[in-house]
Amino acid sequence: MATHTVATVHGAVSTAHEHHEHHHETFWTKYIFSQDHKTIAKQFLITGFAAGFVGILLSALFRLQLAFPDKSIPFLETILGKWAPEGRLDPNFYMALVTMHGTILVFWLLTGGLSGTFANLLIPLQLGARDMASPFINMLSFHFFFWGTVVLFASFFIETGPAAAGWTVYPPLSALPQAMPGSGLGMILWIIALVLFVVGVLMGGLNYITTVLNMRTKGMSPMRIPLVVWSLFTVAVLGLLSFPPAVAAFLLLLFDHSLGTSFYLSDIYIAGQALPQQGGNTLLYLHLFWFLGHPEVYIVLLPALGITSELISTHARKPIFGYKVMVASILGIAFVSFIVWAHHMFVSGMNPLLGSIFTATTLLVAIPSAMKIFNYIFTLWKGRIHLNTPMLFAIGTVSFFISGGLTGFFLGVSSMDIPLHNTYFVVGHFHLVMGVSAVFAMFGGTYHWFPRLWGRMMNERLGYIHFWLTFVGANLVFFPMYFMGMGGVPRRYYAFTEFDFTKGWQDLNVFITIAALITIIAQLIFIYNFFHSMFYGKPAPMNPWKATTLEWSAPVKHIHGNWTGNLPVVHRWPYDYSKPGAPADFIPQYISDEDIARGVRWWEEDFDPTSVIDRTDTPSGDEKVPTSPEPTPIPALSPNQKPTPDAGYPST
Amino acid sequence: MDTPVKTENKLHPKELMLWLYLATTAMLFAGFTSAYLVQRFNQSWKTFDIPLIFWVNTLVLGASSLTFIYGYRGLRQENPWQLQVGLMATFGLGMLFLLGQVVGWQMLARNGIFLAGSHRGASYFYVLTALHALHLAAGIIIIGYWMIRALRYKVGISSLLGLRLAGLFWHALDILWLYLVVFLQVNQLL
Repeated sequence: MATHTVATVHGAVSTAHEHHEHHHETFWTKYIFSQDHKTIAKQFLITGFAAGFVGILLSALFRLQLAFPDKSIPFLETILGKWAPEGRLDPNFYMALVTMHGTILVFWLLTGGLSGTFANLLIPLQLGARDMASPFINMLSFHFFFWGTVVLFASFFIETGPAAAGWTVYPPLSALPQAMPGSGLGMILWIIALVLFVVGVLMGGLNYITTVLNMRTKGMSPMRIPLVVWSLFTVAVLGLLSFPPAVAAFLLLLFDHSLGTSFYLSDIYIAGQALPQQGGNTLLYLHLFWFLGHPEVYIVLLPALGITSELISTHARKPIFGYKVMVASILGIAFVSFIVWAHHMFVSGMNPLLGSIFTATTLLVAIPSAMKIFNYIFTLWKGRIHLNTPMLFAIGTVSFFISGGLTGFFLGVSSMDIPLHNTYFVVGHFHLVMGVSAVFAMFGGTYHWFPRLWGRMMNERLGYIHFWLTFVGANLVFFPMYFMGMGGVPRRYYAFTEFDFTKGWQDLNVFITIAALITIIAQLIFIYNFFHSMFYGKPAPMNPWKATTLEWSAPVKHIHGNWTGNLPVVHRWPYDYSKPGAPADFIPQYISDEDIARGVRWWEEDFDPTSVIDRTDTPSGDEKVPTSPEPTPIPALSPNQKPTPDAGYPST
Repeated sequence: MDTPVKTENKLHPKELMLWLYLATTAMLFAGFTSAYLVQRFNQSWKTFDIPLIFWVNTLVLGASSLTFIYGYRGLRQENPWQLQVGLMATFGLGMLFLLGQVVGWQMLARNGIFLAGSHRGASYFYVLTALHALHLAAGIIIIGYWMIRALRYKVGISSLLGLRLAGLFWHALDILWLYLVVFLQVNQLL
């Protein structure tokens, strides 16, 4: 067995198994139609980030409009053509930009990108599985996501432009093709893209849940599962329960839009002309949408908080404070997220009594959230904190979760929400608490697991610069929005110079735009760092962060099946950092007390985990059993043949 | 009849995935039917008579579940002929069901009950039944696949799991239809 310490993309960690793992891989099977969860994670990561970057570029365009609504910017006409006549953004296109920015960032970057990447990478690796329960469905999951992306972006290139009814696509604006240009074909493409996206997410979710329930390695009992996997698992359950009703909402919307039904439409006059649709109910759409929409917030946030748990514990060299409480708070947040949706609808005309009930349930969210914050702070307390890039981003996530989350109290109380609804206060709130906070966790996770994905380290110095510019920039962009919101500035308006009560905020809008542009440019540093490090980064040791979880015990080299020999057996929980009396400040999960007694030196640079993993008494050759539950092929039944009952029935 | 060999108490991963998938389908239809109920008690809501053929179809689909069980037992009881007959009957009854649905929709249309317009009870009826029919069409493709394999003697004991999953999906669509038809009928009577 080789004892290479450095596993790089091109080098090292050779084993007897390796050569027959690589036989038939072509470019197509390796990079495009890969069924390997690590490659699928990379696909999600790159597609998610690419979509996300386009999403923030869109925000640069509408921020320019908000800062300089009356000025002509000829450059805009050069790149946007008819959507910016004489260098001024077309109002319809402004709405489309806002809509697509929200859709891309909420769904594509922070749902597909975030969960897709880290669930695919971490669930099998941290649980000690060879791959997902169904690698084929896992592959389909990415392909649905990808084609959804293509359809969504295709809507930029059609005559009437992309959907423009806001990312929540409320009817009637979204249901009447004649309402505005973006309500035409763009809206249909939006719905198709979302349905493809949901199918992809659900296929992924089925796999994540099954893998967590069925494919854990020996010793990986529920209370030894890393918190990030707990959160990804919970998120998959949330998605499974909340996305299908949203699909129902979108399909009914499509029927109203294109087939003349009136589920959501009633009493509508356009240019004095009454529409035939009667009896529909817009509020119904809101209920169905927000029944997804609110759990969606936690579908975004919980993986981010899970990643943060791993990062903070690892880089503070301390066990996570209150592991069981953390698990309970994940489940608690997930449960509560299903009974708070109507706090998005306090001013929609629903029964005020319902409003007070939803106020009470909404404020309940504060309890598990506060438990998590408390535990993060106590994990950091007296830790040996390594302020490297992943840790900075993790602390950043917590800080935004606080500064964004506290304003949730104001919005959660129905009486306070009435003046604040649809103002910039809301925009500031959700951008900080779920947008920036989750993006920071995604960055932190990327810096942390980059060596696991590509066998190389990302550049720390560039990472620092990226962190500080983004951290300061995001605060400068979104914090002032709270003041604008309290001043009554409404969101989604095209030009604030048009109204007396918003004119006074124009200087602040210029300030926000400048901060936003600097923050967006700072992301180029990340993009450069990401791709440069992929090829030229410093080769990473097998366990660069001295972490305890199982993903660092498998070679980075592309091996379908993750471990070259046996699967690791788990002997302890994932947070044995700085354990008193231990010979090192971390004990990996696969190290048993006997191994410690035997004098295994896992903390040394040239330690080879296989020397422990392959030593265990598990019979060799188990590698095919957990991943391919396919029964051994048995000759087919011929007319007169008598089969043995249940021969070849797969045992799991 | 239950599977005699169960080494562990765990579900097979694929079976678990199918159950989870069925949970998403349940949530999808829960979304639609709760939307229905929200609008059901609106003043302008109109009821209509559901043609009898939809109830006849319920029996057809129920029978198809029974023939599937018959065929599945054929595989387990070493009787390829019984498997073939069972799957062919299931396939045929499934097609008959779809045909019956089309006839039912035509009867509704003759009575002036259309998808489009302001008759939301009718719109929901078409949406729910069509969506179920789409799922059932997928089920028929799966049953058809196993039927062709069985006719070519390509189904062995190793196919037990696959066939059991196909059956689970088929029975679930049967139960879903029963739920829908009862739900829709009760809402016409109320």
